[in-house]
Amino acid sequence: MARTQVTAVVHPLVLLNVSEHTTRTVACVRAGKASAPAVMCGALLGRRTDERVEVFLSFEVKPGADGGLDAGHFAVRLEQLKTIFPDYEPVGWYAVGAGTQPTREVARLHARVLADHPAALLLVFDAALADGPHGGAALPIAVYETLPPAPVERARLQWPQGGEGGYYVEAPGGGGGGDLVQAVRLVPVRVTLDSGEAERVAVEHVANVARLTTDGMLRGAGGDAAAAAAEGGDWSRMAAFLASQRNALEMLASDVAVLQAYVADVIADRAPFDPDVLQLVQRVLSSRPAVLGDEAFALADAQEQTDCRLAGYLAAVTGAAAAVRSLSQRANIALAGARNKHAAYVSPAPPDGMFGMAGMMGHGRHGHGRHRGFGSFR
Amino acid sequence: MESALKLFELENGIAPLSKSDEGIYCFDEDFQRQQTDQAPWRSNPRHFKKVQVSSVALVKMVMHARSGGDIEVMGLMLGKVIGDTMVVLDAFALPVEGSETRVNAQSEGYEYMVQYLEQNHASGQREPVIGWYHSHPGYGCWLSGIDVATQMLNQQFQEPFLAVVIDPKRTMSAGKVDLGAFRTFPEDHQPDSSGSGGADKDGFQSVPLSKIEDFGVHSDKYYPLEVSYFKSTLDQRLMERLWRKHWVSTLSQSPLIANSEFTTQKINEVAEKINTFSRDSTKSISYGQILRESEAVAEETAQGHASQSLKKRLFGCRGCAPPPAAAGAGAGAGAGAGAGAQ
Repeated sequence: MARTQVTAVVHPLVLLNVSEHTTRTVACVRAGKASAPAVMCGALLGRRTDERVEVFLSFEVKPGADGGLDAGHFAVRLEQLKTIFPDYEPVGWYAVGAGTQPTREVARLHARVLADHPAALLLVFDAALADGPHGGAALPIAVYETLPPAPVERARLQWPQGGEGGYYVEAPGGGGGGDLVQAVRLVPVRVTLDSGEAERVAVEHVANVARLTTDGMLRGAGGDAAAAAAEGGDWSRMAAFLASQRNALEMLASDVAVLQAYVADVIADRAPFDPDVLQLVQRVLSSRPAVLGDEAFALADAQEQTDCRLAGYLAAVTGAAAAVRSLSQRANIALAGARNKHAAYVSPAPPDGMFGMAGMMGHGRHGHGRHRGFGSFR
Repeated sequence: MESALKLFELENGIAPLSKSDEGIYCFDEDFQRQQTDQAPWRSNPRHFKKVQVSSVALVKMVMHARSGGDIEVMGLMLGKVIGDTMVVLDAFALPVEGSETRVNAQSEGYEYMVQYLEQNHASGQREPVIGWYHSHPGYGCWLSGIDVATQMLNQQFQEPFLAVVIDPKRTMSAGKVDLGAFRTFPEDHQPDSSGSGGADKDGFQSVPLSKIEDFGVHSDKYYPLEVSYFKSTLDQRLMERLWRKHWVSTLSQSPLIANSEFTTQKINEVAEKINTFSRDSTKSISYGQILRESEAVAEETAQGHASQSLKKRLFGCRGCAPPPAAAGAGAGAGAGAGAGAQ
């Protein structure tokens, strides 16, 4: 079947939001403050083009009494968020599970959602996050799109389902007797992660600076907060920056190593030939010297370098000026004090400013000679 | 029956919650009443000393602040109080622009807020509002005169209440979240001689020249709280997974280009300050401040340049760079060998 492959682009905020929703729900259920919901779910907001669905935001929605999502609640919340983010529209919904496969309840709910939003995507969040053989590396989510209804044998609707062709859900209003029923098919789509510049900084902050909750926090002691602050404070920003760059490079290196091993295996006939992967590798390699002997680039690069050095130089000059200033102030005070214990107070910040430094030194010298003139200060 | 099953499922397998996660993320009305009943902040204006911000609240606030661009945006925070700590668990945006231009922004958003909270309760999120946040795009985290007035009002009627300020521009240029949390003193409060007012303890609060008077006049009317950040066990595991994908954007960022305009602005700012200072050093600019600012600019530029040259080595020109050492070695060699295999 020829159709354009949709790519779902998910922002980390969505995942963090779902994570918070899950944590809060589980915490409240455990503490006996709330009853366990049948399904933990919510709505996804973002932008949709033909081949790309970008999910920026999410909000939780309580399941309605009739087994679907609570329509009134959903509508109000959507309106509220649209006031602030008018560019976003609902693109689908999410459900929290113990794996990235939809369960029967989720599929049932999805059928209800489809009735109102025929193009809705389904995102399943794997809250178990087990470090399985495949886990550990993959994103803990799967996104499914819904193919238009087609007649399917009734037997395929039985749960548990799974495997090759995706998941079948009886289409709203479909059905009828016989062996064939109208059913939509859920198929996983490609998922990538994207983040804006600010989002990246914030997420890195969460990853590197934020600490796990501790019991101390509960007692209000938060005892190690100061220690943590010191920990974070001692690191220069440059060091933190370089460390994160280094980590990223390590990831790149390990991924390249995987690809390299795969290509070697293919050549040695030990691995199946996957044209998609190899084409991608080929494409990356052929475009690798991104710029080669481009004068404009070299010029711009040199300019950036100069700018950078210039900024460093300016900072150094400012620093030197500060050092001279502070030295002259101290010398001023020391000299004045040495000459006469009752020497006049000489203002450490003379009104002629820091660039009148020669003047300032002069001031000092005058100071001891004319200290009676300053006597009014004491 | 089914929900009992779900509960079982929740407890077996899903979400490895630690004990402390439970306590923090579950809202316990009785405990909260017990914390707030005595209202120790009435007798001690410096009662609250610390702020804990959750991961999701942080990301939401930073992104909202960023989405405003040069416009100040604001929103509210949800959370609770534990001893002398204010815990921010979640945040949401208000459809109101900055507080600098509009004096009484809060009343405009009031209806929205009430409605929003209603929906929160409906979906089982019961935390009350614990404060407000707004952005100061490009001029640092401190409270202006209007902010102080707003916060004072809120502290009279909405206690416990916290004010958070985020600078999205500095966050971007420094690659580090720039956020401050403040509480004001009551109106009749005498500032103590220690002088630890609005400026940070380390005194680094670089305020643009155009705002410096506003900053100076009000800086003894409020005090900063120590901010730290926390995440749940689930967040932690999620972050580990995300990093598998996220490193790409760490590597592909171009801070130099993204921040070029802001950097220029800051250099101009430093120049202006030096001018002002050399004309009249009695103004409330200290030389140390100028020095720190110029150092910050240099450091940020150096960071940007480091990432630029890293990329140049990785993807730039074959053969024209010396074989990269240390950190770059693995990647460089890998890519090179990959080319060979092809």
